[in-house]
Amino acid sequence: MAENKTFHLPDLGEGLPDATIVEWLVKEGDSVKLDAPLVSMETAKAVVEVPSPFTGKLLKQHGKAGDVIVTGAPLAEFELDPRGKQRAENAAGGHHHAPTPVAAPAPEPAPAPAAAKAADREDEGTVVGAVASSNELRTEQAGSVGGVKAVPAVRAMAKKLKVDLARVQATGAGGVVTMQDVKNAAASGTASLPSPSGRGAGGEGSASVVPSPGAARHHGALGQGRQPYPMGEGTRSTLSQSGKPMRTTPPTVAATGQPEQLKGVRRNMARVMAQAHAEVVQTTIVDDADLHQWLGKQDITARTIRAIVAACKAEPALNAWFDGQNLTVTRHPHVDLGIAVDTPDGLFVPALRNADMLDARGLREGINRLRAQVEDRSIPASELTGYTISLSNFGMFAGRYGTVVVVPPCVAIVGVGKLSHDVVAVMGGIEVHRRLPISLTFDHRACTGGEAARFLKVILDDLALPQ
Amino acid sequence: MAAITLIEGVTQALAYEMKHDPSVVVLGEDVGVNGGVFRATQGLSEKFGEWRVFDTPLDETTIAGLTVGLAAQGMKPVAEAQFEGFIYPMMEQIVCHAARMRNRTRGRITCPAVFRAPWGGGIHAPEHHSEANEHLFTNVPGLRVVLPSSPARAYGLLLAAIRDPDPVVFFEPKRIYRQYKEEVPDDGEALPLDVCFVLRDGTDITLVTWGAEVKETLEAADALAKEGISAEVIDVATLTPLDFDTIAESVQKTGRCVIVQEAPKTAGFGAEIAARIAEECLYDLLAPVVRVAGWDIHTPLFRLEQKQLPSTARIVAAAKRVLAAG
Repeated sequence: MAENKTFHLPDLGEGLPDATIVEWLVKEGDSVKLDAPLVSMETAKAVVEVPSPFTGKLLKQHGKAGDVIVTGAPLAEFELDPRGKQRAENAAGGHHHAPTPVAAPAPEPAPAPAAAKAADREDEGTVVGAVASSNELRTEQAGSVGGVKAVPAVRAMAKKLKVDLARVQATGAGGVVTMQDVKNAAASGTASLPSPSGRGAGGEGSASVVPSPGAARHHGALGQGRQPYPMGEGTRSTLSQSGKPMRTTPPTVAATGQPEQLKGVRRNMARVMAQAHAEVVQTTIVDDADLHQWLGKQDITARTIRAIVAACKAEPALNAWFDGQNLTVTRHPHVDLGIAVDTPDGLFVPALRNADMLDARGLREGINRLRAQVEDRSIPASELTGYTISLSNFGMFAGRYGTVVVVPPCVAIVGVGKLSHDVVAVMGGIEVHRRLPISLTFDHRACTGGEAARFLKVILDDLALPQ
Repeated sequence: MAAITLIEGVTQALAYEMKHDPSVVVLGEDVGVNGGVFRATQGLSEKFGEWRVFDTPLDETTIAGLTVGLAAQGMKPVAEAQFEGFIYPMMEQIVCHAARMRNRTRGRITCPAVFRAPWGGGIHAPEHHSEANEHLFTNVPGLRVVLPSSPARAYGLLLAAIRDPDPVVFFEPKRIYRQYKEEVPDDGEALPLDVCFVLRDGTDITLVTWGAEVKETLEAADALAKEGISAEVIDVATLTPLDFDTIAESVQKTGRCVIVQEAPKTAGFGAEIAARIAEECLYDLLAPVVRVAGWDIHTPLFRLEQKQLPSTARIVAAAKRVLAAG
């Protein structure tokens, strides 16, 4: 027994009260397929073809060309074709405001039962279009990867909480891991996965999940595993999240960071050093100053500066400026000592003016003042240039000898390494002396090796004095 | 435990969170008295009153602006755009303000807002009512883009989205709003954001998808299984931030990948996944990564709309092409 259905005029625009029939495209008694054009209708907005809502026979047209049909009022009667393709239940489409009072000025008033049906129709859950609906009940099945049974949601939670499902105590029926099992494992930290690579949120969202305590961290060697993004917690692992070794190896060791534009002091340092390297013929000689004779505690930096000043007086060739273009040398009667100061922002070399005129206390005060000015960035730019020779006390951190860079126009720089207690051979045996490693780098264009060696000897001799 | 549809999952999540958190409010066109264009907010107005569920003027810019303001001042607004095609006026507020609030204030203020919108085609709707435009939001830093594909995920992920301190664009695939029912306990248990859901385990090929296409993709996996091909099906669920680990692991295992997206192919979100696979899993691939997507056209009207949506047959054909390639 075929079922009969009434088709009510859907809202053909948005919120249109009615539409006028232009032309029926299917005659009464003819068969029509679902979605085939049924009737063309004119609204306040446009002429639209209304598709057939059913497959079957058109039993009756509620109106003819020129008639106005109120939205929601019956438009056509169908006898459904039980073998034909029908839209899912409750998907007839159309617009259902509150039941429309049927007051269509149609020549054939709609039969009352149909109007009543229009009013009582079930809400189809949409104002526009047709949402297919069914009462079919589905459940997502537990999959089993690596012999672990868990539904997708539980697996997703395990991933989020960095829990290794394989090591979770399963309490579900048939050995299925439940959501609670995963949460318990996360809380107790008993099944933590190694942290995955720091691949992370592109967003600023903060995950509302606390990583399990005691999560094991494996640091893979550079170039192993997939390259993490330089964001989030960049811990890396050679294992995939399933605990298997990763097979993908990048073609080269890719840099993991973002290139950063150098700014300010570091930018200047890069330029200056490259220029120095290109111009200067650097030569380094090294030796140790023996401080065994020192009386009492003394200021090593002040003593070193005094020694440099003495050396400058003895060998003025190293306290000079050299012009490689014009091949001129300018020897200085005074010593303005550039002192290398390391900061997070880069290298500063402030000038300690007239170092040759200052006593130990004056030197110390001068150095402290320069350091403070560099640290709070109050140092004027004029104080960062014009030194005649410089000093780099890298031994404050580490290192014994080094090729410190001569920055033109200067021709020499003294590097002071880390103070150490050395075994020294002396007449009649061995002793342990405090020694200070001194490296002298000079520009061989501007001075000879002899001048440099004599300069170095003066430093060593001056530093060896008791006070 | 009730058997509910996807849209009822949305309603149930809203009701649960409104009951337990007085700062949650719902706003949008017709969300109150009428219960929403798809009935997503049905009954909430009666339950919580017009101060918590309020109808707005027909003005998406206002809805979104109001939402950002409410969220910035400590409320948890859930705004509804009646359709994804009407979210464009909201984009200025979402992109320029909601997504940036945390960064702009250096973490002093976050924007715990949810922007809900029915999403995608396949319901015979007129123009502007059938778009898949998630990729317009996945490129915006500071935004989460979430697309549930089942009643349980609609409920669990919406709860997580409302509770998250940052803005979430929550697209609901309207084509499967009432497609089937699932037993979902109304216990307030959120599902995790930012991770993929592996819906099928497989060893031969990885099928990656999201939204309504999960249905066709699972059907394709079933069809392939009949031919002895074991397909892994991944529902991305949270598009951004993307849980690429799950996809990568699967691709490392299977060596093959087909990405299924309803949106037009060019520069859709599938392109991002394909690019990541190329960057990070190239040496695991046995065949090119293939995308099955909508055509690069405006969503056609109903007579042709089925041709726009990637069908089960198209997914199966693509999978076989990939399997034949290596």
